Amino acid sequence: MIQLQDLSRTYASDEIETTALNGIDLAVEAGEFVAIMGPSGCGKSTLLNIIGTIDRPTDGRYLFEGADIARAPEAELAKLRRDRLGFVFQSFNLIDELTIAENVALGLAYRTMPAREKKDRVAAAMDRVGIAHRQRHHPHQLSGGQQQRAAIARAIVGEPRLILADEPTGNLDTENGAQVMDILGQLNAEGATIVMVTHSPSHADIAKRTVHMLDGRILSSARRAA
Amino acid sequence: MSALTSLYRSLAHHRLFALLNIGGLALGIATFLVLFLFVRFETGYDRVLPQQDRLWVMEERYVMPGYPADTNPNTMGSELKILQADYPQLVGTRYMNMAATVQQGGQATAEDLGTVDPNFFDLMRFPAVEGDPAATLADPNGLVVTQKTARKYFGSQSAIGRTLQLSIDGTTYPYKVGAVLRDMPDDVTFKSEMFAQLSRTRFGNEWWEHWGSASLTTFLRFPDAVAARAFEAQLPAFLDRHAYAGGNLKKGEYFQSLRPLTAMHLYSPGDRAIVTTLGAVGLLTLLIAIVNYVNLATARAGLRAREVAMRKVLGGTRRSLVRQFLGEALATVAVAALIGLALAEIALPFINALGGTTLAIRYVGWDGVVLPLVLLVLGIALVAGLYPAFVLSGFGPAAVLASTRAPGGGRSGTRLRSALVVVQFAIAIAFAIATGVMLKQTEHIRDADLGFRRDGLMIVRSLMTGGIDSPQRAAILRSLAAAPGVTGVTVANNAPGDQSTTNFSGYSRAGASGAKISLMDVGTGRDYFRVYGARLVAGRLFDAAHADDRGLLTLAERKRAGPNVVINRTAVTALGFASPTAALGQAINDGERDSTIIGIVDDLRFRSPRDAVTPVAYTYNTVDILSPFAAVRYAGRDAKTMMAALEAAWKRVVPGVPFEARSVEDNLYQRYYKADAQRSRLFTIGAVLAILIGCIGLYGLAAFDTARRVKEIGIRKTLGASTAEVLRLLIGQFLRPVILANLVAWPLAYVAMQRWLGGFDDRIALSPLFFVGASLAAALIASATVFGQAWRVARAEPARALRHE
Repeated sequence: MIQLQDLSRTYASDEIETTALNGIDLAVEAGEFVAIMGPSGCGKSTLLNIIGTIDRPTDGRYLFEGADIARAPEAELAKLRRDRLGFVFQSFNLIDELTIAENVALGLAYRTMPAREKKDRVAAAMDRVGIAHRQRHHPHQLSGGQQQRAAIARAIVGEPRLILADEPTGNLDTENGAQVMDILGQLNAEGATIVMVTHSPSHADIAKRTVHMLDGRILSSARRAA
Repeated sequence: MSALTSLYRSLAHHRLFALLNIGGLALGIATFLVLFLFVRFETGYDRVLPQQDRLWVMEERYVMPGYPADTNPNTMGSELKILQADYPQLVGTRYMNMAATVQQGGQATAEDLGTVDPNFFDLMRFPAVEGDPAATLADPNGLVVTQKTARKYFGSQSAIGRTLQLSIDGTTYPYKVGAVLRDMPDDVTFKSEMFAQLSRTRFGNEWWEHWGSASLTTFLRFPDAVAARAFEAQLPAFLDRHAYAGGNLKKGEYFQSLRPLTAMHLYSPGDRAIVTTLGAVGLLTLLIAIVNYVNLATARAGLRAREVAMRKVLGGTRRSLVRQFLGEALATVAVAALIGLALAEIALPFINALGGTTLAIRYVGWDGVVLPLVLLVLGIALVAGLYPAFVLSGFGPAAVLASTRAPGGGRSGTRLRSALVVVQFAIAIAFAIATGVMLKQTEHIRDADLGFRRDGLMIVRSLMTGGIDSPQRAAILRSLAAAPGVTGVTVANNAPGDQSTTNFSGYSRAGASGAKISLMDVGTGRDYFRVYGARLVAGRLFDAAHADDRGLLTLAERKRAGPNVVINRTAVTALGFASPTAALGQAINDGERDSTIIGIVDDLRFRSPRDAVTPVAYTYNTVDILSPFAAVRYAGRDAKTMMAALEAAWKRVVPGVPFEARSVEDNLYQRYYKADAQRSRLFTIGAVLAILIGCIGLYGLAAFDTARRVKEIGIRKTLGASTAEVLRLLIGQFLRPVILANLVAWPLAYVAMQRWLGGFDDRIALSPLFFVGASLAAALIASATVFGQAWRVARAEPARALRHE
């Protein structure tokens, strides 16, 4: 599904240049569940952001379903994110001014479809993660676990082919973390491709493959024994 | 001190906020200050005179059939004497302006001479620097001059006891200077550079005791307004006893009343309206600036929430915080006021040049600006600081410190800011519409068809100077006609922008009964219509070859038989004729004799575009026109060269009489268009600044709001929103209140502009284009203001935006 070839990302400020990613080669097949692990600052989130097209590589190729999108125009990337990608963040990134239902609906806000269908899909996504009863609340009125489930509902409402999760359990207690991982596991079982950054070895175990990173490079990539 | 330090750090840390807030307020205060000075100047006329509130001016009002009511602040010459015979306690004085020529060393200099009663300066208390004005004016040959005039004729030597030869109405008198007045300020209505005794034997005309004539100004003094109004109530009975008996005035058509001296400067309702309007522009611009302060202060409340929480944790009370924030508002406004004052000082010379004013900022004295400015600062600080102070001081410390989110005033705060933006832009859009209408009307007046060709035409005003006799006048006209470039010369008792005598006769159609219609009588000389380029609608013009045009008959013969008349289109309608052709050849009767209508011309608009064109009956007079103006048509020369050539031609015949002429365009501009043009320019400046200040506020709001929403935009982009969609969202959000503002602005501007245009008889239509254009412009300007901020945020990489806290 995606192929990264000799991909690099450097950040330049006035004084120093930081290399976040250095010569990454990685392929993810459709239906895979890949966990990315490594110490803080090793480039995990940068890699996920580039896969999610919300950041751009400074060098290398990024093939998404065969097309090189490393230097694709912004509008094309926006369309890709809208139609094929779903995002889940550690800090949920819900919009405080909107209700839970409105936040979930944001996942369809930039797609053209009948209002009725949008409404049905939003209701189904909220049901799926068990937060339908909280749809009229605002994010700050919900617990961390509920907020993350709402964020997952927003990510899946558009039925994306690839779900990108950046430490989805990082801000959650064990029980809520387990619930979130259950949902991600089910989604993968239903056919969604998932790439997840995590610090938790037990949550990485749920994935089918674990990629270890250090200092902007991939150290190893190991498939879980079936 | 700690509050000031806190303010300084807050401002220094948020430079953009400081710049927008103080800059916007300073501009608002500068605009308000300049317009405040203008309003105070315009409404403060004559207040420099001690006890001016006790002086009243007699005014007369005509209500003639078929003609709009006409009020003027004059009376006949002898009315004061008749009043004092009936009311012996009455204190009054008179002022009549005369044209005089000072003959000195072979030089003739035209001067305005105020002829007044000896007690004039007892009532109008101009201070004298030398001599006794009352004693001087008791002598028929005594002369009171201003310091400026004394210097002009006698240099640095004392003027007292010196003699000036003054030619008035053709006679030269030796006047001896007995008193020198301090130079009069600009804001005095009745002023002259020299004053002499109002002597009936010297200056009295045949209308001295003619009720209804507007010869001079009569002032009366009363202890207070109640006494003045009580006296005014007796005027109808007084007129009954004296005025209507003569027969030329009818009860119900002529009235008299009193007007305070201080109300004389803004005599016409149009003048008063424009001064009120400009005052409102100043106030509303200030309001826009205050709204900016409130909006920016509450928008950035979140940035200071932590400071508030910590102060409360450390023992600060809500009251102390309110005090602190009000203190900050006061300090900010004071800084803005100082900058505003400096801006006003810098701008005043330009404003004066554009607006034709002589405004100046005085710091001390009764009209000093310091006290009003201090009050203004306190007022603005209170109005602008109160709401933000209560919002900021209301944050609960526990919630703020526990939350990672900064409180932003919530939805109600956002709504309030939107509502305030609606108010700001409603005012700005209404101003923009008004500016468009005013500029278009001013342009229309400059270019409108007046019924004659205004270019290439000079008016010689000095032809009516007293002392020029008929043969001399004829010689002058011949000499002017012979000047190079002149293609035609004519005379009449009216000219564009001038009218020497205004007489109306009541006419009815011969043989018809019913109410008489008042037509203005205009005596015209040879070639009048040709020189002006008037358009003949039907019939023919006066012609020397037609003896019955009466042009060649003597005065006595003209009085016996009615002359042929040419009337204007308005007279055709007023007299009830169906069409110009229908009026042709018909007779009209002025009560004594029949006159035949031989021609109809298009209306000649010689007077203000504010006044309706009056119905006119033109008569032909080649013998002698009372108080005539000469009109000179020329070609192939510029106005300056022509003026010099005409002056040379004039001096060949009457070298001792000062020559005074103006181009018609200049004369119309000076008399009628200038004030409106200047005030339109002042309005435009105010309106542009109001819009600018509104945009400063919108820019500030956009800057703070987009900064607050960086992360949200990142989320939206992550979810697939394109740059264009984010731009639409952000700009649309700011445009909504601007578009909503039209709902308020349009009806307001419509009503205001209907009323303003209603003051003009010759006016443009209130086209919807003004409204649509102003709204589009406002939307465009607002979009452009917000665009920079929105573009920056919309273009940012989502990953970077998501890291933003």
